[in-house]
Amino acid sequence: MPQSPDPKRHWRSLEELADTPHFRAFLEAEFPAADDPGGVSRRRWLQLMGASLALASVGGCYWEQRELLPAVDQPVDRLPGKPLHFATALDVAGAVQGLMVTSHDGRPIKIEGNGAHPLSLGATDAFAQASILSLYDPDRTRRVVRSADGRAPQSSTWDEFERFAREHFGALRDRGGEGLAVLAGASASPTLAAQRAGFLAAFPQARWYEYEPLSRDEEIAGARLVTGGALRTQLDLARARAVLTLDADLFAEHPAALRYARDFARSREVAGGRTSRLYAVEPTYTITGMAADHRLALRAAQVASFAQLLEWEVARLAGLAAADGADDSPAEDPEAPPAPPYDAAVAQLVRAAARDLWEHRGESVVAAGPRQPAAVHAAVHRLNAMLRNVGETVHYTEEPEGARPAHHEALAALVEALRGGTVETLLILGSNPLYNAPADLDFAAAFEQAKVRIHASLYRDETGRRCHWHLPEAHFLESWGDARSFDGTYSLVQPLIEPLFGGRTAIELLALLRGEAVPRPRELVRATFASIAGEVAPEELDLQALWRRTLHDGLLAGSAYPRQLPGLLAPHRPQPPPPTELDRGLPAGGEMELVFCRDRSVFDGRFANNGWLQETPDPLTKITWDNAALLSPATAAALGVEADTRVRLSYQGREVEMPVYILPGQAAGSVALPLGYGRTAAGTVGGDAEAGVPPVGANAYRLRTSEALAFGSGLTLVPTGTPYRLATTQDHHAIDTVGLRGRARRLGELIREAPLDEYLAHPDFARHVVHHPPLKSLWEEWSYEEGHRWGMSIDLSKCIGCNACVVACTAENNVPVVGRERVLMGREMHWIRVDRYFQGDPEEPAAACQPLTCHHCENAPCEQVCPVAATVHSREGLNDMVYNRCVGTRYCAINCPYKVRRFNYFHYFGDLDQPGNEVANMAFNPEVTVRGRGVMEKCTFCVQRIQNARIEARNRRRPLADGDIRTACQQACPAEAIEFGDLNDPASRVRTAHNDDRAYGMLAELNVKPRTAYLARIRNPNPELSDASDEHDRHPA
Amino acid sequence: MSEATPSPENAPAEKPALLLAEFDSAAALVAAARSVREAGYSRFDAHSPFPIHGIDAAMGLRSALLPWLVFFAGVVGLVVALGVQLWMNAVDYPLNISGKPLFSLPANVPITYELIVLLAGGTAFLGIFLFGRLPELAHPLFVSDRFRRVTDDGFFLSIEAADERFDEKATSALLRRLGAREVETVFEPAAGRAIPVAFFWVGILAAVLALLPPLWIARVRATRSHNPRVQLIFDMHLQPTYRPQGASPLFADGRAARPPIPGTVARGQLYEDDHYYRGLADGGFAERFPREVTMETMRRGEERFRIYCSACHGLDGQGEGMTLVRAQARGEWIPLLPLSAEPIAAQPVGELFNTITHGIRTMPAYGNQIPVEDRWAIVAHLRALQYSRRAPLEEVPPEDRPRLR
Amino acid sequence: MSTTGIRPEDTMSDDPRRRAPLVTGSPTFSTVTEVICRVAEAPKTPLAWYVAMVVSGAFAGLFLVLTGHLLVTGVGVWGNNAPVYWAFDITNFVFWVGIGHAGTLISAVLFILRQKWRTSINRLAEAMTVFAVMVAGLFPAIHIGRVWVVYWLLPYPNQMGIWPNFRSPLLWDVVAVTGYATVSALFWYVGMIPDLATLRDRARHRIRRLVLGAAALGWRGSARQWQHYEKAYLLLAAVATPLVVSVHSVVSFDFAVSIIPGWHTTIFPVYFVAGAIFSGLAMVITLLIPARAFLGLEDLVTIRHFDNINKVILATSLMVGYAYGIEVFSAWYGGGHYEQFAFLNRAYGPYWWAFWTMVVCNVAVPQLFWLRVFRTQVWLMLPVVLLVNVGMWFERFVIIVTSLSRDYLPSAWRPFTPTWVDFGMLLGSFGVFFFLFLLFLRFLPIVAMAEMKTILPGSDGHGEVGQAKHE
Repeated sequence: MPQSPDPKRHWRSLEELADTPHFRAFLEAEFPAADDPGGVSRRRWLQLMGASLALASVGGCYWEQRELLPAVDQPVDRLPGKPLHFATALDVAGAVQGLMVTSHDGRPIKIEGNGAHPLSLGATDAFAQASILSLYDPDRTRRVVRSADGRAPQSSTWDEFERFAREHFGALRDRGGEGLAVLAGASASPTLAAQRAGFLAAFPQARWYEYEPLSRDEEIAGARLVTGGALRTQLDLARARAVLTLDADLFAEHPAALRYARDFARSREVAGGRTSRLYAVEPTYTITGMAADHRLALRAAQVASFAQLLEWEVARLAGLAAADGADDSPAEDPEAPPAPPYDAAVAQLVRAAARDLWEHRGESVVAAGPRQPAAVHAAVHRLNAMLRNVGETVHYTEEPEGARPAHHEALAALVEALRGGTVETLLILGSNPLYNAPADLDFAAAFEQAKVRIHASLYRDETGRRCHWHLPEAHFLESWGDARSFDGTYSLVQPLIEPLFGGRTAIELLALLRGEAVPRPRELVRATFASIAGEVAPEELDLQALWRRTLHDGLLAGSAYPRQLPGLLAPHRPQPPPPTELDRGLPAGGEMELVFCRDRSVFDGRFANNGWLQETPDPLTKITWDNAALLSPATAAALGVEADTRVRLSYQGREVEMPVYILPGQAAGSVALPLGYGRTAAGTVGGDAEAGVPPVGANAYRLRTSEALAFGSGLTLVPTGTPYRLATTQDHHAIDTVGLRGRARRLGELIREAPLDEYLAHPDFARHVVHHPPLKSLWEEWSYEEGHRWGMSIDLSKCIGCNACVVACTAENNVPVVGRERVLMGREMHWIRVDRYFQGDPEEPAAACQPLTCHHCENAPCEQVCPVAATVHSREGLNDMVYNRCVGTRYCAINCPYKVRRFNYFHYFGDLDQPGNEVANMAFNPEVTVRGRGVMEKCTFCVQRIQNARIEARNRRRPLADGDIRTACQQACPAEAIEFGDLNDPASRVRTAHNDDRAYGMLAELNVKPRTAYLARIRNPNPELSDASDEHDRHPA
Repeated sequence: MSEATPSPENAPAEKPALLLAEFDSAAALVAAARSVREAGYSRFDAHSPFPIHGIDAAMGLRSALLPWLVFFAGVVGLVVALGVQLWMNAVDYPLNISGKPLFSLPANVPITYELIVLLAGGTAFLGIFLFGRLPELAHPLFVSDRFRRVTDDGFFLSIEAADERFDEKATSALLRRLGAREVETVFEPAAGRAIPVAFFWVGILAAVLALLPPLWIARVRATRSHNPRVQLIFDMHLQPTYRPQGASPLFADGRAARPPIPGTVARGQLYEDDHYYRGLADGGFAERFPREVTMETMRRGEERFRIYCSACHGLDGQGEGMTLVRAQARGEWIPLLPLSAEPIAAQPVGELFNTITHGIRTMPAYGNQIPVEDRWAIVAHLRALQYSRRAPLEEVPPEDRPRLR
Repeated sequence: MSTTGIRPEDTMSDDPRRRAPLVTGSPTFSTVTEVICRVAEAPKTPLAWYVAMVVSGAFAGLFLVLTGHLLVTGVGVWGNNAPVYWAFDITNFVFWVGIGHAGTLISAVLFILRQKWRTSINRLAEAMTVFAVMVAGLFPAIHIGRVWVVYWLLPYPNQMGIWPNFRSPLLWDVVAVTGYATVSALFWYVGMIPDLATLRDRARHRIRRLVLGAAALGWRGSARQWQHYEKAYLLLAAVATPLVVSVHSVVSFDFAVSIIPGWHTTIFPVYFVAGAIFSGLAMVITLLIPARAFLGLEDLVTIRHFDNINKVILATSLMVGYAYGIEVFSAWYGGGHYEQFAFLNRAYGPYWWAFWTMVVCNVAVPQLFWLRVFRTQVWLMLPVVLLVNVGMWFERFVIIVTSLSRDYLPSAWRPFTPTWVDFGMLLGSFGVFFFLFLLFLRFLPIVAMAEMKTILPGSDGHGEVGQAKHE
């Protein structure tokens, strides 16, 4: 930053200018096209507009002066500018990913998956990628805030709080903790559990409540129903040949999603010849549904009946099989009670799926999602048992959360206690009940009953603002801790940086309140570690060495939960459900079903202030910066709802108004509501009433009641007709017939796919989709035979469209966040996008997705049209973009057939000069230039990583090996869909991918010679149903 | 049409510049011009509001060579354009652009074409100035009020006094004979009436103003300033990222680089092997090398020793490194113990390794500069140096023995 | 001036035996001078002129303000997005460059072809050309993201040691447009030298005389000057003629050289040049009609002139229509489905209205010029040419925006929504143009007097001596 004071003062003056109402009006008038009636958040707006001022602000100021501050004695192994990697773990609501965090000069700047961790396998999801931004979020609580009743909150200090705590909790301890209640979110940290035990020991009368808006309670209950014990189901999808999911998003929402996505992708390897088949039955489209070979849209309430029917079908097959002994071939039993007439599609699918599962018994999996009631989970357990999958592809381990009460019950109990006035001190650790508690509990009112309310969290959120004490919590990258992942693998959480805002972890806080003078979190964790290590590896004597190894590896080897073989309780005689329950028409009386979904961008709302995630388009709807009520086309037509309008939803007397999005494949009569939006105290990005920043999207929690936590019936939906444009990144203007036909015509050429049998018949079908004359050049082509020849391959059979790559790229390459208004204008900046296309009947479409980034064409059309040679080819075939040379004619972007170039229409980072945002600057990757306004940018194949790997190899005096260079997108991909490497290396994985039969170059007929090859997607439809699936491929919509 | 009364400025005393005769029509003018030439006059000219066809012949004017100049300019344009494009894109700064050849004619045609036209056009334009003797802001004719009608509907013939056959009486008589309606004697303009003074002042002012910017730039370039240079538009020079060893106002120590957190373990820095990483073995310093020492190790060690150690210890480890020599010349440092000296030679390799890693007395720590592997290599080379001091003669290769003192 | 002598309708006689006169009334050298100079010398400016100045000045001001806003804030103030990276900016550029073609066509090409009727309108047309090209040149300059480094497009030695990329059509553009601007400006000025001298010699006020004197370079109308002058003028015309063809061809390369469906076609150069002349002549008529009426040039600019120009407009309109047809045909015949879609999308896609506006205005409406009455009746031809101007703007809009908004990947399709700044700068550009043009009308010789006189009776040196002389 410039040292001379002038620019700052200059800037301030502009700041003031920017706040005058006149100027504001001028700014608002900036984008009449982009303005939405909802009104643009002034603060968010100015942050982005401040951008455009930056040019003027630094104008006329001096060249920046930089200070160089070398360490007096540089610690060993810490070279300035040389990144280090630390293993740690992220615990989001009890779901754990093992991470490997890159640190530059002691500042964490990038998060990757820990390759050694069984559940992340080197990959991450979008949330983990984005959590680095939360670390440097200027809106995080920076100090202790104290607000006595009736008085304005004032900033305070930890010392003050400690004084208060000593006195207050000292008194409480004397009373045995009577009137003390703790509300915490779910956590997978054994140390925290230990602390909790210690805390409850110190305050025997105290009550501890655990609440998460999205929990696995039904799953746990289901297991208890069948087995009587607390059991956790672990799937082995790598071995599964037939998988059927009941409203379960195994690849995105499951705690082990990364592992499952990887295993599934492996099981789709067509080379092996044993390709798995996936059936998905779900009310709304999910990532898993996109990957499925057969998908059936059923209302959430009908899934139970479907499970029942399936159980009945399988039981028949099983029964027969049992009768004629070893013969495994399924046969029809003439005397078997005929199935009553079901909806054709349902009957067809159930029958086919049942046979398929049965044929692959022992190698099949049936799974249900957390949204489904315990009964469905019970049915699933029975099915897996019948299919003899238990112990083969389905394993059981202990359920550590088995003992606790269901989350919503716990919260209800707390509300009871509060109403009863028995709670006078309420300590809230991280959770935000005022925002996400079920509406019928009316938590806010009860909450006021507690006289002393203490809230520790990253943000001063809805709850924090109503508490007497708000304490800054430490980000996981700032804290010592530990976590046990879904399979029990024990990981240590080691800090990457000292707490930026003096935050403390829950562990420290509990120790403090327990009366420990100076809590030493590392020692506390160390103690837990010792006990767990004792169980896992008693023979290992040297604890210190084991501790260091665990820190280094990021996990404690062999700490996974042991598998168990539970016996099933009462034998069950399945009965077919009445056909009416599986009727797929619109429900009578216009009583819609509402289904609450975890949002793929902001989770349950905790990531609402994360610009990267807010701007990431939803994989299915492509909506950014918003949520919408999802309707199927038929439902919308029946209700007379137009796209791009708002509707009023009312459920049990509560009303919410929000925009609609018409999503093909949504179950008829079912309305999906993504949770996590409408935050009023998230921050300047997610919405902050105090700062005058309107919320992003609408708050669906307002309709959520304890009876209908997952889904419920009786929703009425009234179109208001108010137009509202959703900021989507695809499918814009209501597609006209010409557009539809044009899209249909070319879809098959862009995304090439075929059913398995066709592939086996013609392995190289993908090469023959487009016929064009031989591609000859008028001149002698450049040769890239010498040295390296970087290239990429993307396997469409593996890609599940989860967006991890998009956020990873944003984090790695300092991709700007432009905000809702700019996305509406069509100016999002992502270097990699995942295109999503629906095919077939709009009610039952098949979805395909295709990650798209710069193809680094050897005959790059973008280069020849640049008048200043700002984009040229490197010797190794990279399509280099020279930011400093770019004058911004935008001609290159026009001439790019893939439209992957992005233009800085404004100075998107200008606001970072503002005082107070220095912390946000720490999130930048120092190895990547931050682009100014008027400059074109695009994917560089992570050229900085190529250079680093090259330097590293040179220092180690060895040649670059395949796999040394991993692009950000490739590294984040849970499905290993993306490969990158040297095409001149015959052994490299990318080379083999390019040689694969399925490999094709999109738009290669333009003779641009793309360096990125796509591997055609192979679907594996069930032959019994294949006509249906063919029909999908034939008439894409 | 008023008679031409001599204005006060040009008093009869002045010498005549030329005779101006007015004619009625273009045709008359042409005829007159022809006869004047036939009469042997050479320095005369005809003036008309528009070009009159046939008058060139009548006056016997030769056609100009302007077309050839224009053609030549076009050729120049062709050569320059092609040359520039060839040199700039293919020779001076060749770039692989869209995998296209560095120089291919089709892509270079438009610019060549345009440059040809541009130069040709410019030359044609200059031709008017060159051959038409323009601009000529001051001319005796402008003194005559009658002459003003030349750009309206007047047809004039002027015969310069400089013509050798010129004789005021005779010539004017000739002109009248040829049907001139009026004949007027135009005198040399009085001094100072040539070009209006205003023009000079404007010109001078413009010149001065034009000089100011270059002068200012020159001055700025010459003067010293402690301010950093002025940067009007920052573009991407001002990066919000934190560079290595950069500053940040956020932290008490003002550094953007944060200190490592005690107790954390970075990937690849587990260092379980005490022998290799710390030079320790069974409770003490290791006596043996952790890895096998190969010839390659020895060479590497020698190279690294020369880079890192020889500055003080000398190439032979005897402590005559140039740093030390200079320091001692200024009487600052105490002499170094030769590395082959007993106390050092007696040390186990582990201890030597440890000394390199953490430094000792005035010797700084090299742990963060020299990778572990190289530190061991240096130790190996050190051992070789020490041994070379007490190696028996017969171990020295015979060809080298003479070189030993 | 007297209404005796040649009557306006005589100019329309198609009797091959006697060449129709180019001027009406009974003009003489001095009346010609008088009529034309009156405009520039009128002691008090007509109110109409002030009104027009204020209006166009206001829009010109708007243009400047918006440009400043654009430079400070960024190109984002326009509606351009991804994939429609070019929209109004380049549309306006091509539109104005096109307008700029008529001038040189009339002055150079018709001069070479010895079409004497050009003399009364070429000055006006050239002025129009110069201003139109000036306006056009603004857009490419300000549409780039970093205007402050626009000079990087020039091949000048720099510390980076890097040169521009001569393969880029944009660079060809720079050279072509600047070259065209230069040559047409020279051409305009050269033509004006004798007339400036006329004004100089009529000037009463001393300052005016000095200024005009400087501008006229001391022209004395001497036979020697005339000789070189005519030679140079001819040569300028000769070199300007290929420019007329080349400039818009080069502009069309911006599109033809790219790979965008709907752009990547070889017909563009011809098609663009025809369109340029088409729109340029339409603009000439648009300007001529009021100028003629207000400045009393009825006798110099006759119906015959309108008739001739309208015939050319009709011809070029047919060429343009043919080009539209051929584009579609070759798309269909070529069989590339991306190309085919591009044209279907133009006609029936979201921008169908723009496409049909273009077809109606550029192909259908001009067919009215088959009827003599439309060619000769001022109030009938005015709406036609105005519609042609509109249509030609839409042609560029259709080519640029519809092709960009839907190219290869459906996922990247996006509509373009202009902002108020877009519209403001479009109007503003007209403001700038008319502002300059009005200045020209008021202060400069609007008709080439010297040339006019060459087509008057008694202008040749071979007529018999002592012809009657008017005062």
